[in-house]
Amino acid sequence: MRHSPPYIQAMKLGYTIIYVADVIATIDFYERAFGLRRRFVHESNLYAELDTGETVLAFAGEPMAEMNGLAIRPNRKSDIASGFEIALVTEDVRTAFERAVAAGASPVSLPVEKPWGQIVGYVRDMDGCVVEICSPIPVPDPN
Amino acid sequence: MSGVSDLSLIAILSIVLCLGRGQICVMQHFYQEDHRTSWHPFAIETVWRSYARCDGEHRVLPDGRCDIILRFASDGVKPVGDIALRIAGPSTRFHIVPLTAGTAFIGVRFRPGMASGILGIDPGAILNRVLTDDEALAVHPEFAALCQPADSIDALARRLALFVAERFSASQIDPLTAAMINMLHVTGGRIPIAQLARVHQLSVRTARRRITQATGLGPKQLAAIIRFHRALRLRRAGVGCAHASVEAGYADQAHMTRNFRQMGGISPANMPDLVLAGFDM
Repeated sequence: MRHSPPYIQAMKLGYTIIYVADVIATIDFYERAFGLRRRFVHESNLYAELDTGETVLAFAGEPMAEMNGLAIRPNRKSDIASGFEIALVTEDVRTAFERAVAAGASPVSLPVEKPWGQIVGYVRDMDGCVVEICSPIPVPDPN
Repeated sequence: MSGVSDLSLIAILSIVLCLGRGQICVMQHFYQEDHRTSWHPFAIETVWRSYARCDGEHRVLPDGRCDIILRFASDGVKPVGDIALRIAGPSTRFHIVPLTAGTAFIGVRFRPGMASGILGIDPGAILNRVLTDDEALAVHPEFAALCQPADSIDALARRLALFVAERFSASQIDPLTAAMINMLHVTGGRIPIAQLARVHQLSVRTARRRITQATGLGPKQLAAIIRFHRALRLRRAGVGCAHASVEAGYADQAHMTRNFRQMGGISPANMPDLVLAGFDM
């Protein structure tokens, strides 16, 4: 007889927090490069949130990692990118890509159309984090 | 986001003192830090004070920092008698300071890499050394002003902090070197020197020279000290030895144990009560 797994209350993804060298510079960059808006900046300038809806994209200063008892690999443009990406969705990927690069993002992979119809490009942000700029997944044609 | 609101209270990690034999005396020992950034945001990490109400000893752990310390007999409120001066250089191993009841200490701990900007000497020249009165005055005669009589421990702490803030010369601090030292701390001492150099667009040789000049410790020594402190902090937070050794970046638990013995003279499995910087006793 198979046992069903014990019931676990599902958790909610609340925040994605990226540790960066200069929180304010990064927030400024995300506004210019990706058209996002700041939602909260702590007076210490060591923590800030972007207005990204229910799941918050936030940035924390590197000293906070140490204060929290963590050791981290700092994100730097001159280093290999860490193994994660932020994916931002827009209808007009090519324009968004150009605007990001004009604001100082480094192009990594120019926008191309994937076999499933999605347009996807990659840049690295001012801290060296990978940002995917993509169109919404096309809804399959019911016919 | 717990912790965001009390940023000003938190010191960048470091552990100064731990009680060894005098453990039964723990509650009789007082240790407190003042992290006000207004003292000097670049030069001063903390102004600390401690007071022994009974005999015991301090186990001073290597922390990659330098301190100026005033030592005096006290009733707990004001200095009684002479004030002795100590300049503690960077160290690579623990040392024991015997204490007698009624001994008080006030210290200014410099931020990592800031010693030459305050003392005006190469910190490598005082590696594993504590300069006592005459030796300290030989570094700079101005230090004599610190030992003048004072009305209270508070006044003495203020005097010491202001003295250090005024002496600090930012011109001796290279921002790129400071960035490298910070990155060593952020990574818990785990970033390889080759990568540290590359990220800052320096050769390994140049990176090593600059870090050694600023701290008096080679980058590997400094990284090992930072790793040791992170492991201490993990153990203190209740993380078991096996997990702590992995998270801190030791090859295995035995490696961590050897390192604890060598740097701290203590066992990770059975740590004495530690006075951790950033946590008052």
